[in-house]
Order: sequence, then C-alpha cells, then structure tokens
Amino acid sequence: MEYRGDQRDLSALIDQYGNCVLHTAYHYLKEKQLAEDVFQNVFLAAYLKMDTFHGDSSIKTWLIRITINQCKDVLKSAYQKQVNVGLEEVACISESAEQIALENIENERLYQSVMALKPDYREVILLRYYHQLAPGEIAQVLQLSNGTIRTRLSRATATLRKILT
Amino acid sequence: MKLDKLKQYMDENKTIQVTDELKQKTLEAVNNEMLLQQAMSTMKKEQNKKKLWFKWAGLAASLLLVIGMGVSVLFLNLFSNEKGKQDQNYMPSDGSDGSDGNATDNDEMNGIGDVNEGGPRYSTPLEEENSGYMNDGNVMDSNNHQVTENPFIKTSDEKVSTFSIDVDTASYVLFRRTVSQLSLEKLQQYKNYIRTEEAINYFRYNYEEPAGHDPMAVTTWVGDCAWNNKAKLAMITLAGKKLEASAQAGSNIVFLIDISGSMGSEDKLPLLKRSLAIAVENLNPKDKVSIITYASGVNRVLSGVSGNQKNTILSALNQLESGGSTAGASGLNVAYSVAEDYMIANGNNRIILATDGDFNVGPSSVEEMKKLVTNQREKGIFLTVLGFGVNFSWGDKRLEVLADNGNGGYYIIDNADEANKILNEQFTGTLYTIAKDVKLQVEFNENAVESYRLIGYENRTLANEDFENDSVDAGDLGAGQTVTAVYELILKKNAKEELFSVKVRYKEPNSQQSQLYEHGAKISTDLTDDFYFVSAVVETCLVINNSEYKGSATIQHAYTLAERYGKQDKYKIEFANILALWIQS
Repeated sequence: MEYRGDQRDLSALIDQYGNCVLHTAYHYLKEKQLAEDVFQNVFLAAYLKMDTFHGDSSIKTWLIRITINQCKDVLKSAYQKQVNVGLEEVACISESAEQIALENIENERLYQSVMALKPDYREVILLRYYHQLAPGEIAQVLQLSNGTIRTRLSRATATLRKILT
Repeated sequence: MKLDKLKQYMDENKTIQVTDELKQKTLEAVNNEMLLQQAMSTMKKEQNKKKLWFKWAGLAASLLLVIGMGVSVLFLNLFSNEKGKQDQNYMPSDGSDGSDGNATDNDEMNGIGDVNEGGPRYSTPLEEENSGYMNDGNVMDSNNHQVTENPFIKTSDEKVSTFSIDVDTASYVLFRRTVSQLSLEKLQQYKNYIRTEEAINYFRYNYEEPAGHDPMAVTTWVGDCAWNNKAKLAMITLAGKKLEASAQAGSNIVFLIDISGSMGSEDKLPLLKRSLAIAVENLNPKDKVSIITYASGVNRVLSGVSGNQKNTILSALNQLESGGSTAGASGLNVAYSVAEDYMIANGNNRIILATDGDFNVGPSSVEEMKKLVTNQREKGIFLTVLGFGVNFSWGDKRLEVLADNGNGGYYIIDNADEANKILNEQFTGTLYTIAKDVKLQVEFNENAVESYRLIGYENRTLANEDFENDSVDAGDLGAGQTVTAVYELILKKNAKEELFSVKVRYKEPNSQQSQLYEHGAKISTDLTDDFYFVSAVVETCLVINNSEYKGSATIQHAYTLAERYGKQDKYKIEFANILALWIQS
C-alpha cells in the first residue's frame, strides 16, 4: 500500500475516505470550518506517514484514528471547549420540530440523544453505528482493549435506552 | 431504539460533504508541504555536498602543493648540480629563476580552479533529482512567477504608460533567503523568479524629499543603459514625506497573531514575538494596542492598552504559545471589531496580521475576506501583513491580496535584521500610509522617444483610463518610503525635446477623492549613486529572470556597480556580497 509520492493516489484516497474523515471531524467539532481544517491536516498527515501504515488495520480505521486524535487536539484548547458548549446549546434549541418531517422526529430524538451522550459513549456509538466499525476495529481506532469497547458500547446503548424511554 | 437507522438519518440530515474545493485545497496543501520538504532536503544535500566539495578541494590543493614542492626540489637539485649549464629539458619556459614558486602557485590555483569548475557540476545530479520537482513545481509557477515581461512599446502605437506603485518587498526577501540554497543557474530555470520592482524598492535611496505640504516628491533621471548600448535608462522616483510618529494623532493597532501549530518553529512565533517587541518599543502613549490570537479559536489577549504600557504588552506577547489549527477568517472579523471599538479619529487605525501564510480558507472565503478588508479600508481601518517563515513557494498570494486591498504592505520577515528594518528603521513607513491609491502616468514625447519598456511592475500596469478612475485601487505609499520605476528607452535620432512627463494621482489616507500631482521639473542627467545602484539591481534581475531583454547584462557588471555605489548601507552591501559569491563560484 504505497501512496507516498503520487498525488493521484491521494486524490483516490480522498474520494474513497474523504466523507468518512470529514463526518468524523464534524461530529467531534460541530463546526464546518474546523472540520475542514482537520480534514486537510488528516490527509496531510496520512500522506506523510503512509510508510508507517503497516496494514494491521484497515485504511479506514487508520484514518479515523488520525482524525479523532487531531480533533481531540483541537478540543484541548480552552477556547474551543467554551465555544463547543455554546454551539451545542444553540444546536439543541435551533432544531425546531417544525422543520423536521414528522417521520423524522423519532430519528431526530435519537440523534440528539446520541450527541448529548458523554464524549466516551458518543464516540463509540458513532463509530459503531455511523461508521459501522466492528468492536475490534473501534478498539484499534481508540487504541483500547476489545473488552473496554464492548463495555462502553453496552453502557452507551443502555444510557441511550434510558433517555429515549 | 433504531440505532441502525442512525447512519441513514445522519447522512441525510446531519452532515457535510467533501466538496471539490476542499479536495483541491487539500491536494494543494499536501503538494506545498511536499515541495517544502523536498526543498529542505535539497538544501541539506547541497550543504553536505558543499562540505564534501570543500574537503576534496582542500585535499586536491594539498596534493598539488606537495607535488609542486617535489618538482621544485627536483628542479633545484638538477639546476644546482649542473650549474652553469643550460639544460633546456629542465628550464622553465619563461626562463626566470623566480618562476619556480610561481609555477607552484599556478599549479595550485589551477588545481583549485579545476575543482571550482567542478563546483557547479554538483547541481547536475541535483537537477536530475529535482526534475520532477521543477516540472511539478506548481507552487512556483502557479503563484506569482508566471509573469510576462513588459515588451517595448512604440510611442506611435501608445505614448502613455500607466501603472500603480508597489512598495512590497517580499520578492526580494524570499530571493535573499533562497539564494544560499539555489545556484544562479537554478534560479534562472524558474521563469521570472524575482520581481524587479520589489527588488529595487527593497532598498532605501536618498531621493529629494517633498517640500512644504506635498506628500511626495518626484525626481527623474535619464542615463546610459548598461546592458543595451542602443537604449537609455529612465528612472522615475517617488519619495514619500517623512513623519514623526509622536507628532501624529495616534495609532490604534490591533496585532492579529497566528499561533496555530504550524507557527512553532524558531523562524515563526519566536521571531514574531521578537519582531513585534521591536514595534512595541516605537509606540507612543497616544497609541492603543490590542492583541488578538487565532489558532483553533480566536482569543482576545489585550484590548486597547496604551502604547506606554510596554511591559503589559511585552509580557502578553511573551506568553503566546503555538498549537491547534488555523481559523484565520474568524480572527480577522474579531480584529476588525476590536479596531472599531478603539477607533482613533484621523489616526492610524490598522490591523497587523502576523502569520506564516496559512489562512486555511477556500477561494470563496478569500473573496469574502477581500470584501471585508475592502469595506473596513473604506471605514479607515487598514491592514498590514507580516509573513514569518513563509516558504520559498512564494508565501501566500492570498495574504498579499489582502494587504493590497487593505491599503497596507505585505512584508516578509525572515530574521531579526529584517524585523529591525521593517519595524524599527522604517517603522513609520510600515505603519503610516501618507498617500493611498498612488498611480503614475508617464507620457512619452513621440518626437523624441521611439519606443519604451517598463521594467517590472508587470502585474501593476493599469489601463490609461484607470488613471482618473478613483474606484480603481492602486498601491499605497508609507511615510518616508520611496518608489522607483525604470524604463528602457529607444530614442529617436537627434532627439532634442523633453523625453517624457510624469503625472501622479493619489488620495489622502482618509479621502475617497484623488488629487493630481504633476512633475514639472526637468529630467536630470546629473546621475547620482542611487541611479547606478538601481541600475545594478535591475541588471541583476534581468540575469536572474533570464529576461529576453537582458542584452549584455552580467552579474559581474552589476556587482561592480553595486559594490561601488552601495557603500555605507548594510542592505546594499549585503546585495553586493550575494553577487560576489556568485562570481566567485
């Protein structure tokens, strides 16, 4: 798997995994501009570090891992924490039920509940149900044990169930 | 709970897609980074090869010295053994006794000469290595380098030439930075590597200062053209009025500082802090200083602190640390709102953006920012851009566009000396605009001038009718700044009449209406040192750019002029030294 040195391969990489990276960043940062910044940084990092990619995980999980790490760096900034809290509140109140088709109300509730989960839980739920990674892959992305991931997943779903019933 | 529907729902309602623009931007960013890394590794290789070369040169010289001494000893022995006899087998060809030592010296010199000739050869494999880089070097070509030289224009076709002034110097600073890494041959491979007008205007000249209330003075000279004996060289110079910062209404300065992760290296944030500290030393109690930083987010560090609270400002600067991504656009918005809060009527209201060039915005956002910068300029808040650690892929065109639209300069600061030049020696020139939208119009006399060619200013030429059109933006002149334009003229035979006349249009800093300044003085043929130094800079640029109009221009000749007429100015001496290095290699 050698992408280094060839922009066409990078272009193909973006075509194939670009949305996956951008969505991951957007879910973490909730701001388009920041997500796009991270997107650029992720592909730059991927391009430069392609020779360190050993193929012991899929490219998708590798990219998601880089993305999550970059997002966490961004979120470390105190200012960003403050902004994110603000944005979350705005996002919750600005989503008026009228704007959402009736059949989507249930899904919207589910989405809002997922996004309201604490970060550790939200992370595993999105990786499992949005990115559709297997628990083993999530473990690779987050560099945690399979057992931890399974526990987190079950606790996260339990929390969601509680919220939604 | 239908978690399996989450993906479909989010894909339809809650997400954003990768646009072509984002993809393109990412590819460009990666390309830029790769070019930078290649350039860095080229630099390292060249340095290593140079080291190796010096080692070999030293060894070769020692070897030749030993051989030369051996031959001399042998020769002396034979000569003393056969004293009185003339043995032509062993006599040196010039027959003098003293030639022994000379022969040795010459051998040694030749030896070094050989190695020296081999010097440029080290770039050949490098060029091969980099041929991909050269060919794919879109950054070099896609930004400012694709400039078509101004041609000779016959006065019978068009006798009026109009252009905007340009006081930017970034092109020369980048040249100076890269000159130690790239050979002249290599620079010549890039089409139009250096912008002649920016190289000329980098230096300070002793042009006649404006009298009375005039904001500027114009001086013109005509002399011989060093590289074309059929042509004359005409120089048109503008000198802006000097200002005492303390006598002004005060400055409302908002430093907008990029502290994103990429600013970490020594020539970026650390140099930026030292540079701004220099600027702070020049502030007055009337001045107000704000500091806004941007990385992943925007942060107000200081708001409207008086210019005499230097310790507060310096300690705020000192505490800046880099990290995070780059949210330049929001930073700019906040900076303008802070500048509005502390607006000084009739004062110098200005944002100083300090960055490494990565503003992380797409083309549409650049348009939006341009609009923002232009609107704020109309309100009286100008924008100056300081580039730190900008790589030799020509910095960032977008930043230059912002500075141009913000009625401020775009300066690249690559070391402490340059910081001192821009923010101390030329402090008022950098920070105080004395005339904006300055346009020059030269009308050639058809009876005296056959044809003319404006050297440089390729992307600053204006349509003649734009001279009087106040809505057309042009360059701005800072306090004490000088601007020089050079024309190559082919004169008519026996031309006796005045060759040309010059008109300047400009606006006062806070006015929307332009004024006309007509230069009535005779063209001087009494040439000063400045004329010759400018001629040397132009000649150098013609050679570097491999200009089709370079005629007999050589670095050697340019050096002779630069060295002779650039004395007593460390920047001019530095320029002459660069040329000297090329000649020696």
